[in-house]
Amino acid sequence: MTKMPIKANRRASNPPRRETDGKPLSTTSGFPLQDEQAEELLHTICDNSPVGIYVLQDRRFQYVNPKFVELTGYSKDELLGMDAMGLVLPEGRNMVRESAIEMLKGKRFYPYEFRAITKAGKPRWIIATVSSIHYRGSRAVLGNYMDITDRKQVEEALQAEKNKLQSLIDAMQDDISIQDRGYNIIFQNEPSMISSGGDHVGEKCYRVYEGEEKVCKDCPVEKAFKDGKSHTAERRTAIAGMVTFWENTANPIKNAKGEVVSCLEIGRNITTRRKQEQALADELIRRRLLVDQSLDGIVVLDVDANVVEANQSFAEMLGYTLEEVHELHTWDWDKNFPPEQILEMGRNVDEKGLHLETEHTRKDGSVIDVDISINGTMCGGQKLIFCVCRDITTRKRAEKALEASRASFHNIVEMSADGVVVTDSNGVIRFVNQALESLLNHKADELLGEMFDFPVVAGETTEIDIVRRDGKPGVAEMRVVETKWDGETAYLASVRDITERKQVEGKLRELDRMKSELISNISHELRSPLHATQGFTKLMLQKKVPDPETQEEFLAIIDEQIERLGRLIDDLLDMSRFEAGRFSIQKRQTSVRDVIHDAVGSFDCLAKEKSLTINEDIPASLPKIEIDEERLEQVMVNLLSNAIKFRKDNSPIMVKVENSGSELLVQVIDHGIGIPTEAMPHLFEKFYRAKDAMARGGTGLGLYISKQIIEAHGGRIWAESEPGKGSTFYFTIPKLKQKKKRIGEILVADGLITRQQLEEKLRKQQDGEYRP
Amino acid sequence: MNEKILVIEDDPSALRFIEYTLKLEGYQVLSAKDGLEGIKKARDEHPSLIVLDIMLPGLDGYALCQQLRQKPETSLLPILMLSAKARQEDKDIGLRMGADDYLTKPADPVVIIAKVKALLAGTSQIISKNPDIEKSQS
Repeated sequence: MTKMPIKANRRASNPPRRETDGKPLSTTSGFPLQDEQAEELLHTICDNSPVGIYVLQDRRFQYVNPKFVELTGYSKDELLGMDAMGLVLPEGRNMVRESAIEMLKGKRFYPYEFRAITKAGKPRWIIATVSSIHYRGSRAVLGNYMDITDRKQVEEALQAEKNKLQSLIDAMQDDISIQDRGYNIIFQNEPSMISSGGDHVGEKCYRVYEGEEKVCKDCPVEKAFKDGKSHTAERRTAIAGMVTFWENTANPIKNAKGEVVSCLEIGRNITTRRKQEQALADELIRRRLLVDQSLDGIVVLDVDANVVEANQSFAEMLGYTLEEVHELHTWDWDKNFPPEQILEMGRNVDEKGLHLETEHTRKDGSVIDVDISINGTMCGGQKLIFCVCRDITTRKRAEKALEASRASFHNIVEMSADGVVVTDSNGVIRFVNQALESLLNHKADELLGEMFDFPVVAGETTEIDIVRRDGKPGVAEMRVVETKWDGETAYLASVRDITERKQVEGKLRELDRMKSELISNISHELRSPLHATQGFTKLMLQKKVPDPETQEEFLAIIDEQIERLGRLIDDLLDMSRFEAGRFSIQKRQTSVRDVIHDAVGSFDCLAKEKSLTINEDIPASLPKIEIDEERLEQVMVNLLSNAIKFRKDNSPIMVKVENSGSELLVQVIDHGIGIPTEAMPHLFEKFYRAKDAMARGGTGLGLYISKQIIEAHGGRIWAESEPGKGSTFYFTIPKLKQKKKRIGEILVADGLITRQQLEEKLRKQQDGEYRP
Repeated sequence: MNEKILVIEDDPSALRFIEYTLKLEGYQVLSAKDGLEGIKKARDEHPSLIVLDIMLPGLDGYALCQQLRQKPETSLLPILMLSAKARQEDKDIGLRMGADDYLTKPADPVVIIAKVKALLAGTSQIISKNPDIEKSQS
């Protein structure tokens, strides 16, 4: 198949030319021979002809030569007289008839082909011509009959091949052209025509495709012509700014002798492929850059934990060179996992990946904390493990420091005796410490998330009322500062229970007030007698009291007032003795009756002036008991003074003594204004002075001193009162000697025990015995 | 010089002293030994001035002073408080309650007379601000 006129085939539907055909035996009408001679000559010629020859008259065979007999498969006798159409397959009979008539009429000059059938029933391709002759005196038809079955079969096979090739060429998207040895295009398929802008058959390929005037550089066709082999070359064309890439393959076409006569050039547009390749290459570069530039260490491992690839950051992270890293295995830098576990991890990890924190050991032995993301994937038929490692040592250290700091903060806060509460800006409790739980008497889980009961204002210190654990009200001091909690503005309040401090402060203030009051009272009490004393003295010094009797009267008053000052000073001294625990009594066997009588007698002068009546109810037979008579008289004077001071309407005062078992009970009864109920518990406290009507001077020490004296005697003192009706003061004195007390006195005298401690002990011992 | 002065004082010796001093100057002296009696006499006897102690049984001097000031007939009556209560706050209370002047015991008879005269002459303020007199009483 060399130099195939393919193009001609594609356009032609004409019957094939038959170059191998023999000349028609007769194209003339009429043969100038005499019958016998002519018949003999014909037979002589025809009997030896390699072509089948027959003569028909009335469509029936009158003569057949041996070749015709051979071709039909019939015998000569069978053929003679037989209708010629019997040899033609029915489908072709009309065509054969018409072709024969046209030829006999001189309208047709070329043979016709049809399919005949042999006696054996085999179809055969026949080519035939007919001409008109005279035979045996009549008109006859002389026919030539050649079997072309073999040629027909070859032709059909060839046509089938051609069709197949054509379909193939038609189906190809590639540009196909054929160039002859002069680089003339002798064939182009449609894509080629489209690419080159038309039918360029007959033109030089380099001019059509490249606009060159000579064979292109590296032309594959040229190479194919030279060595008879296929060659491929890539070329790039830019048409109207659009770059396209081509892959051209030149396939030499050889003739039967093996000489290259032409070349089939297939041009494939590989622009898309090339662009994809370029994109892929770009992508690779980008990825490479990403990997190389990444601050994270990136290492790719195979399933045996060998380093397949690593980036510079990874090498630097471990302190190795990149070359050294490629010699390592995972366990060389990760000592946290045994090699088996590392290999197992590598086998198991898939594209979903896993994330873990571990430690890497550097070349220098130092250890860093790392955070690793691991993915496993198949890559080029091999499983690879991709690890992205980040050095988190600094973060870890910061975390540890933070944790430590938190722990210490926690300890400090939890150990703090002060309550600590953190609320958000809405006042919702976010944190409380143990101390606060105790302070508010609630558990942390009852408090968290709840509103804090107290208003928090940053920078302020306020006092808040709390309920203490014993259920009693208390006071707490709350300091608030603004802070951050979980990144948001919050308030930190420290709450300190200051109930005790407040109480102490209150007591101190009260004490201070009492002291100030005492000084004021002492001052008042001292000034009163001084007033008269000084006043009369000045009057006399100013010679304003000329009358001797008046002078005498005034001097008596001065004397009395000085005595009053003296008593006052005694009271103050007594108080200071009690305070210091240095108070003592000197007991002697004494008649209580006498002592009380003396005390009442001291009010005689006053009684006259103020129409005062003091009634005594004292049993005649009272035993002498051990008492300090001065001190006991002092108690009586105090009680009587009060009774007198607070009596009303000159009502009488009663002093009553009862002999009551082991003790004497003394009562001072008045019908005065009485004592307000709220004052009752405080009557015997030092400096205590009832308000309003009770505020009648005095040092506020009288009852206090009396109580100290009575208790020093082992007795008790108390009062009963009805406001508006009067009061009764009671005290008891034990009749029996108090041996323990004597021992106690010795102890006190020797300084082994203070007076107060001793009295406290004695009081406790006697409480059961003497309680009324 | 027969102006009537009411002395309200429960301490007999103090009363005796002030009575003597005032009489010596020619004043007519009335006395009361407690608050209620004092109120009654202040209203009934129409004194020209009252010398008033503070620590009195029943109604004390402060309350008494306040009551006198609330009554029309005694609202302008000169009142000289004479008390052993010597703190500044005691004086302040006294003046606030309506006293015209305040003297602390012990008081010099000369100063008492000066104060009384000043109050009666309606010039108490001038005298009370005289430093010599202030000094002599302390």
